[in-house]
Amino acid sequence: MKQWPRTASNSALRRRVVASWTIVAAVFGLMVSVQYHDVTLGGAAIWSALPDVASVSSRLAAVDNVNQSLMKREAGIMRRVLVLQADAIRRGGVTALVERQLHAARVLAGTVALTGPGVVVTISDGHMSGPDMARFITHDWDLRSVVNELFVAGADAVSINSARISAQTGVYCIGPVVRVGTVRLGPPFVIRAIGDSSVLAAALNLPGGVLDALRGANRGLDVTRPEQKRRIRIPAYEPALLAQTGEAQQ
Amino acid sequence: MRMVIIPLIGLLFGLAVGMAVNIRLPIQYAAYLSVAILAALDTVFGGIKSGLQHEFDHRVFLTGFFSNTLLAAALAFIGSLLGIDLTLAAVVAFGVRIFNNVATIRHLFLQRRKIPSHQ
Repeated sequence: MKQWPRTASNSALRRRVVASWTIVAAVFGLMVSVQYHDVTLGGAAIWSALPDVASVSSRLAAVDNVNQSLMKREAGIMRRVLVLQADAIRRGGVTALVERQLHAARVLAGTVALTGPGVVVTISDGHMSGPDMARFITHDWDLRSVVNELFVAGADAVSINSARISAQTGVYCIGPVVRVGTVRLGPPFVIRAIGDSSVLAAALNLPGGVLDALRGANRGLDVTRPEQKRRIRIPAYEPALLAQTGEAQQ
Repeated sequence: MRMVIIPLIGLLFGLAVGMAVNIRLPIQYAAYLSVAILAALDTVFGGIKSGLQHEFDHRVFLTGFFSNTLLAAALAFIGSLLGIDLTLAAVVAFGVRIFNNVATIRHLFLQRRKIPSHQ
């Protein structure tokens, strides 16, 4: 069907011509089928007909990236500040007092990660049976009562799963999950507290106390015994963006 | 005949690989692939036309295919960085060329004189 140049009677040239067509056809086929595959799967290629949407989306991704890298830099700078601060406290003098107060303020605000002795207690939902399933679910007020009890018992820092409880952290049910500050959490809820571990454990183990109240009332919640630990790590309070993407500094 | 069959097998091979391999395009690159496909399609039609006109040169064809494809995608990319919709320019330019090439191919098949094209 195709007529080839007369010079192509030379078989080496013919072969090269066929090879070039084959390479081009294979690459072209690959490009077309990748695009087709993506369109039929409802992928990003659909937006290639709407470059505005693709461009806005890429800009959003770029801004997101910049934000992420800025937050990482901020976390790095914060770490350096903390190291310098610890150094200043070690050296003593007037600045040590100021730095110590600043550190205490940071701990209270929840902006720094904290490591120390404390207790861990885990609360899991009960097994659903019958119509009154609301009883078997861990509610926000359940978590609040435990957190309150821990703070009353003198905890320096408390966290639920990965969320640090700061002064601004609200604990609230939103539909199927519990919102702790900016983070949405589901069961099991691991509550960690740093402080005098024996006092914290005693407070939680109080007969008729908060944990007994949760275990009772025929709710079937699975509440572990408070576990005293030498070393517990509680993360810093995280801003929303980092908390949602899970790229927080540890 | 073999000169048609082997490239066709290559085409089918490429299509099969693209369908089999599950590549998800990131949304910001989807527009560039579509422009690149348009450029590739233009080069393929240009190659068929020059073959029919006994002017086919495999070196020109091969380099033209890849450079046109990459250039089209690169122009679209630069355009998106500068806020200029060069994708539209590529669609129009390659669209016109493709229609011209296809018309020339049809005329050549019908053994008529070559119609003037933009090239």
